[in-house]
Amino acid sequence: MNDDELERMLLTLPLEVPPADLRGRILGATIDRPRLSVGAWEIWVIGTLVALLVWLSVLVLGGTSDVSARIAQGLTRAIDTFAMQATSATVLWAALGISAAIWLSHITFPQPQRRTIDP
Amino acid sequence: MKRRLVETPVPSDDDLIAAAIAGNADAFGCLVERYERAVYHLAYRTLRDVEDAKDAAQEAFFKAYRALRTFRPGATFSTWIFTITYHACCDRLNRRKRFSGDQLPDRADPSAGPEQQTEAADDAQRLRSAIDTLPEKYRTVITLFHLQGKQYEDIAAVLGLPMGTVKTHLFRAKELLRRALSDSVAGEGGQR
Repeated sequence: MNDDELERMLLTLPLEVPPADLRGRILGATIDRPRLSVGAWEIWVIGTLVALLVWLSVLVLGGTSDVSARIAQGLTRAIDTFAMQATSATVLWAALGISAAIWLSHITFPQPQRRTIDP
Repeated sequence: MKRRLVETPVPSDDDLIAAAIAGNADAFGCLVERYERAVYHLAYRTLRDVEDAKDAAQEAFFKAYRALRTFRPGATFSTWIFTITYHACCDRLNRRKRFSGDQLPDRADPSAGPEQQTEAADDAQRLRSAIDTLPEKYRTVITLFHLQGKQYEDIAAVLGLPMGTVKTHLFRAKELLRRALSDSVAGEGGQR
């Protein structure tokens, strides 16, 4: 068998037939993969807030620096001031404010339509 | 009256990639449809195991999908996807090597049983069996030659080897194939 014959044989060799479920698996791992319903900017905001919270907690709980002392003092002063000045009207307004915030957080506003994938 | 056929142009790989990057999921589906068989062929011929080949093919398309934005315009998609597939296969071969000791597992048995020998009567089957007897590096280069033809530069790019090495591997692989094929013909003749 010469080189040309061998090459011809090679180039006409049929490709392996992939298993029937392969395409489904590939599409399932790529374009049909369920997407995260949270936007990228939302992840960034949540991440930043969590990082800030962790940083503050470490400062307040673990640190012995001036900053932690000042934050702790500030918090105590704020609580004391609130306790001293709290009248029934203040508590009522605060309760109203909190319940309004909870109620607003449960409302679903119309969202811009996300791209859907046709099956 | 002559009927005029309206031909819809077949989109090129570059068009499909651009559309997929723009968010058209069906465009990537078309690329999968176009290259699934070749990718699976490369994975199966390299790994010689259906499940491993399926995993490698899936991984290759997944990586390609995620890195689609990094695809250089003007590059060949087939070369790119074959490179990713080849790397996925190498990872699996290395893992096998680590788990099974010193030798790369050549799963195909060169001394096929009587049942397989009957099947090997067919030319294509004989050629497949002969390719299976090749050492891994020659088997891969022959498989890529089968997929990409005489585009030695592309084969070299996929394998990350100099073109001279690719040509040498190909030459040796063909020699070994020729020998294996004549042996199988002689074997069949001897049995008759």
